[in-house]
Amino acid sequence: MKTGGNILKSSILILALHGLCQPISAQNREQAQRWFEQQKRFPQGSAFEQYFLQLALEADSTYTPALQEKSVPYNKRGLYAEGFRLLNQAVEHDPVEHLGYRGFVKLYMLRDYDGALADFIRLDTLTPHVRDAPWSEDIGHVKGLAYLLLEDRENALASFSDCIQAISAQSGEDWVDVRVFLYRGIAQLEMEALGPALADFEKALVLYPKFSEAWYYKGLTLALIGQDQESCQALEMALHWFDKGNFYEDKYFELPYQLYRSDILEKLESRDCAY
Amino acid sequence: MKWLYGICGLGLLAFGPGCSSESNAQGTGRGFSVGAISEDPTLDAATFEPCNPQRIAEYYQTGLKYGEGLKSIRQQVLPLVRELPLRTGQNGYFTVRFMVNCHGVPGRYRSYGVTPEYEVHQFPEELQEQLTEACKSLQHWTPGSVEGRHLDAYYFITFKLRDGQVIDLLP
Repeated sequence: MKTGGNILKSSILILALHGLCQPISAQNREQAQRWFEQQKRFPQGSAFEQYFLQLALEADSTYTPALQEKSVPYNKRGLYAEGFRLLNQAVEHDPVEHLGYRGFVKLYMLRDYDGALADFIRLDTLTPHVRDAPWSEDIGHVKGLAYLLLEDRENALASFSDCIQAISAQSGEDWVDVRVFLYRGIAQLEMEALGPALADFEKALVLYPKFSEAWYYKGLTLALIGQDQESCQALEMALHWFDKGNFYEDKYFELPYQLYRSDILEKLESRDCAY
Repeated sequence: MKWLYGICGLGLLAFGPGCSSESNAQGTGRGFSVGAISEDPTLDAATFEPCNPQRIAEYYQTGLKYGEGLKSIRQQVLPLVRELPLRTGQNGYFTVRFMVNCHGVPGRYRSYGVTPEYEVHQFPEELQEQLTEACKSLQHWTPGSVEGRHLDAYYFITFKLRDGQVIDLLP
């Protein structure tokens, strides 16, 4: 027992000395990490989750995972002042880690296309030797989308093409997100480049034959070319696959170029398609 | 570790989740989830009741929906806010957050404004009222459900504004 007691005392002494020898900031960071781990047990946005995140930030106000995580429910729930107060701090302390997510929030949740683009470009500049993928979407994909929604179609085309080229070269064309072909096709369609637009929608359909959105835009393009029967067939395919659940949606926000069932029906009816 | 949560729980009840006032700067109450809306008899219709005040989810957790989604909201709300007067410099986002109970009845409307840089902004009172009233016109909600049970849930509509004109709806 005596030996055990000595070991315990020695251990406490060693731990205390270890603590004293560590810089204050390292101790604070470790404490913040511990509180951060605790918050994971609770639902996002709950009082407990926010409480532990607050404790993490009180231990270390520059611990950016806690800053970003604390911001998430605010931005998801439309409380942008607090959401961005926190997220901006995360970006300030660690831009490479958090610019992509902030750009994603601006692009998809706030339709702040200029703000999103600025974040994506800054991220790209800070990481010259890395192919960034903010929130799992290639940098060319999200930059292209921001340009497209700003009606800067030339830059949109360039970004989407860069994305397709880079991913095809690295992993093969079937690794490209099919929506990049869809969006590049939409950019071409808006520029009245009907042939290239059709080629992109068809490429998307080769990669993903059940792609309602690509069938829909193919149908619109064929109608503009004057191929009415083929246009109706494509729109019917769009409806067919839509009704089977093969369409893109997000439970948090309306996607750019979100397709609704009524959009397809309106086009089928306006073109007197039998369906 | 249970003792720790017990202490924290008591702390939450007594002091709220955020010891810093900054964490509650927008729309949360002491000891509540982010964005929780407490009943306020001076603001809320006496007829509105959540089905289960202890369990109010978010729309994205239950699938609460209006018609087809934002397209249906846009079709109903935009005509009501199309003729707003020009208010130069009134830019940013105005959010109306509310609850829809398990029967699809909306209530407890609260609003928050931010600048284009996402800083708190007080839009003119009249504009706030017009936008909030437009949201109140949405009366045909399909309540969300989890495991076959309809639940109360929060929803929000954000108006993107340029010079006091609505240029887009979110989310």
